[in-house]
Amino acid sequence: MSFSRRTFLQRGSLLAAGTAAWPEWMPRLVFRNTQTPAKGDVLVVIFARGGYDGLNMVVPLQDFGRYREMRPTVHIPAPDDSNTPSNLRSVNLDGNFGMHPALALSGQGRWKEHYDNGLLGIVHAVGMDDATRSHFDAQDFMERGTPGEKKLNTGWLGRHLTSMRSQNNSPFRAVGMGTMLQAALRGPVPAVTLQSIADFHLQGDTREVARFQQQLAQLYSGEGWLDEQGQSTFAALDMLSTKIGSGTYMPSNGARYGQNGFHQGMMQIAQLVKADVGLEVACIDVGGWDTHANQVTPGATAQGGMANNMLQLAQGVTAFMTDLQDNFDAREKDKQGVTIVLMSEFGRRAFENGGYGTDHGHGNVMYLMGRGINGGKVHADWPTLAEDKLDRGDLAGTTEYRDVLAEVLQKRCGNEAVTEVFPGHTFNFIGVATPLGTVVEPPTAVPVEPTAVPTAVPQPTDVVPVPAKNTVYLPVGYKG
Amino acid sequence: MKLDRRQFLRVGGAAAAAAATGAALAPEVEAATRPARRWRAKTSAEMPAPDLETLLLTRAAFGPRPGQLEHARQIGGMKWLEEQLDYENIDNSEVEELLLNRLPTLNWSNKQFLDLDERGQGVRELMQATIFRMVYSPRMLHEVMAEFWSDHFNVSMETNNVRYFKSVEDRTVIRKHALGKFKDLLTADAQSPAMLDYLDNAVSTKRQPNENYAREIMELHTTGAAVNGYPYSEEDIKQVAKCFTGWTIDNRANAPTRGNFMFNPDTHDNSTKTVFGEQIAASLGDDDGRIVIDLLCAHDATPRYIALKLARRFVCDDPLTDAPQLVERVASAFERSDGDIRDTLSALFTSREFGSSFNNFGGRLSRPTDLIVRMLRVSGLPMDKFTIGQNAPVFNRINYALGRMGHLPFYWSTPDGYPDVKTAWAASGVMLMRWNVGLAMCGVGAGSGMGARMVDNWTPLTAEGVQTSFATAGEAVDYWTERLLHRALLAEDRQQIVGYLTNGGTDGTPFAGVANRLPYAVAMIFDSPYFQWR
Repeated sequence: MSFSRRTFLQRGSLLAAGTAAWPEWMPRLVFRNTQTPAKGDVLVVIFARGGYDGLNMVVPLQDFGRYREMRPTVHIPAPDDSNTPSNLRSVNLDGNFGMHPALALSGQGRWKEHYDNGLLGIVHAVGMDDATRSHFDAQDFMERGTPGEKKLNTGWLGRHLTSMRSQNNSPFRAVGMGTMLQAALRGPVPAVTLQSIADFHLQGDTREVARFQQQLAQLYSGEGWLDEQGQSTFAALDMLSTKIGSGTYMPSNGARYGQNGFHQGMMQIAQLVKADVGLEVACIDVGGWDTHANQVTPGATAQGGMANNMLQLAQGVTAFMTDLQDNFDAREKDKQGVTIVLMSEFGRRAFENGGYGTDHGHGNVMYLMGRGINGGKVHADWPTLAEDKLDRGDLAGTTEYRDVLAEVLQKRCGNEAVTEVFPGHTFNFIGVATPLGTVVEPPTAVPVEPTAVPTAVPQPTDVVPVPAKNTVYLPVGYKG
Repeated sequence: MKLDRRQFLRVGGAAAAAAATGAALAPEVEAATRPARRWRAKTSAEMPAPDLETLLLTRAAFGPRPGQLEHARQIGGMKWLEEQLDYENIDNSEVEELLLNRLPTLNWSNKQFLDLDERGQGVRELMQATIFRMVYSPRMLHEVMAEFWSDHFNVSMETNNVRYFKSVEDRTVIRKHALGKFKDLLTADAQSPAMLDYLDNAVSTKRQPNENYAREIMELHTTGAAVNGYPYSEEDIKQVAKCFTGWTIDNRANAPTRGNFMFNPDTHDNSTKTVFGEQIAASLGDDDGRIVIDLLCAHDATPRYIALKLARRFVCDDPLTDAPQLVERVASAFERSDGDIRDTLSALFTSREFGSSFNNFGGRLSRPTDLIVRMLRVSGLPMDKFTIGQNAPVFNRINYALGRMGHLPFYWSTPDGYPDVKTAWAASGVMLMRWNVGLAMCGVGAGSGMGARMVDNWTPLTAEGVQTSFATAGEAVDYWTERLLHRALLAEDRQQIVGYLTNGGTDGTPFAGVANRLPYAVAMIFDSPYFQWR
């Protein structure tokens, strides 16, 4: 499921086409700029909708025999499997775990580089304290931050923003990419939701539309719910015109984003980070992970629908990290840090289902990226895949996801009240992050290469490519 | 079907009785429930409420086309509802003939789509037909329910193979049973190739059962999600999956039934199963699945879940909190009528909660499709201006806008269907697009997506029969308010729009001097909170 990419795919991107002209007349209305920069990192939360298969993304090499036995036709080969071409085997991380080649390899997602540079930390066998295997309940619980409980109508990020007691009044404190606000961002602090910075203005005769906007704002000046939605939109309109203005966005360091919605969304988050609009939290979704069928290509399990999706995901993240290289570099102390959290509602069943796919499961993998992440490491209290260690046939969760999120909020975002974010939870930090202000030099001083060229990102086209389950394509001949 | 007065009294109490006689029920409820209005605390419930006929035509239909509201007021809202429920007796041949003429895939079979490997044209034509019917079909409630069930039994065009099958599903499952019996609809859906592919039941076999459909037929289509093992356990899901093994798609290249539903006894699990504690004997073949459907339709939770979804669609965002008795009453109507969708809807539309919902719960925020369709309907776009087929500029602009707002027909990717609560449809980007649609509708837009105008050589201001000359600016604003909103503006808001039209003038400012600004003022009525609520 993806809220965002659908819309991007329709039009291709005006930004990428280099036609992002900003009207000069953009009126300065409602908003009064009193934001102060957040003291901690900008937090970017990527939610993979549908339940990605953590067992195939980060393969348990320490448990490989059992893993292969449970997944005779969908397992990813071991790093030393000489019967498989090397680009179709998992990539050894630490002897205990291996990363899927679409994520890891330098010609593909390049995450092994981030891992080696200490920027990427992985947490495995992450679970939630609720057994649901329903997508909708699992996402709902996870984003509320209250597993098993639907009483609280705010999301964990919404409560994070509230509990920061910040003076930051920017309409861009919290941003959701796409057409619908992510449930995690629900709360008293208004969040902007947008698809395209370039198109974010009223369209019409320039002089008249400026007057129109001022007058329309009057019709939304009440205190009703819709008035509030209107007001935050007007505030966002004003701020974007002030801080970003006209012109085409040029990614830095040769970062290359693809045309799909996830890449375009990441690029716009990067643009907001650089524009210094007071951004603290950004949410973005990436869909297509509900791989009940045709998850892998028969006989070449490192390829197929999920591999394509992983490649797209990994390349988007790498382009973003390249674009914001300074924000990910511990030596750039004056630059605000950026921390990425990548999560999904649940893992998939440890046993394959026979249709080259996997059904809903439980324990899963989370990824953390940033200069303050305890990276180059797989954090895992591995439960094993032994029969009696499974959670109803699935990988068990030995780390509760809220422990990971809370540690990031506390150590990287400067939140001193994580008990307000996850009420009722007993915390058990596992050391995924280092506190703000602690300078951690990268283990090697290898900068991320400046030529992150996505090589195989599917492009919208009038020709429907090989059917891949759960992948977004346009109607043939769609002209919008 | 016939709605008699006794029925109203039974289901709806006094308010419905008033409604049944055709009298608007809003004023008395309003007097009792509406707090004194304060300027600047302008919720939708504080705006002047629509009368019952306006409410029906904006919720049980996609908005009144010119003349339709007058007709409904004349015969009374309940008579209008009766007519709409009896949809088979409403002649829609003009629309359907035109559609078939321009969009030939609308009556194709699954075999035709597969034999020709066609999943582009079918999708495009179905999307065009869907919007076109919403705008023009005289079977208005049927269209609304077709949209409702398309969400309820969502399959997504994002899944490639669904694109072969969706058009047939729309015709033979959703539209055929939209106002029929729920069990027929559920059964047809369970055997629909689009659903069989989308939720993977087509590949679910005895050797390797796939649980995707088994879970969702309960969680999303009938009983609602389980809480602590009720109404179903994880084990029930595994058992139901076994029951449906072998329900698949006929994939034999030369078969005349290629692409249709097929039961394959070779891949069906013939063991004994237990579902909801009921034992299903071994070797019953495809009866297993039918028994599961029976069990689900007979389950206590199903009427309540369907009633909840209908109440959310038509009355308020959170019916379990705000209108629990309504949910219970609608659920009883469903139960009593053995899942008859018309009887269930009658109970809902004749309820006090529906009649007074604008005052008690506020408006329902229009979803983007409803917003655009209603703009076209109330402004009276003639059918020949909405060109469809190969060259479909109006449709393409609508599609652009819907894509930007995340509401393309049949493109919601997950099986829960497009959300039906206001919080899903008012993100900043969507608010902005709502306003840009209003400008383009009035021919004063810009940009690459919709261009200056939604419809070439036509705007609501040039529609047939509209008044074009007014003595004063105030008169013009009042005329357009009534034409588009069918209810009054709050005085303060009216003054704002008059002030905008006249560039700071007053009610009495001569219209002639400001006539060229009227398209913007009309766009402002579309873009105001009033039009966004329904």
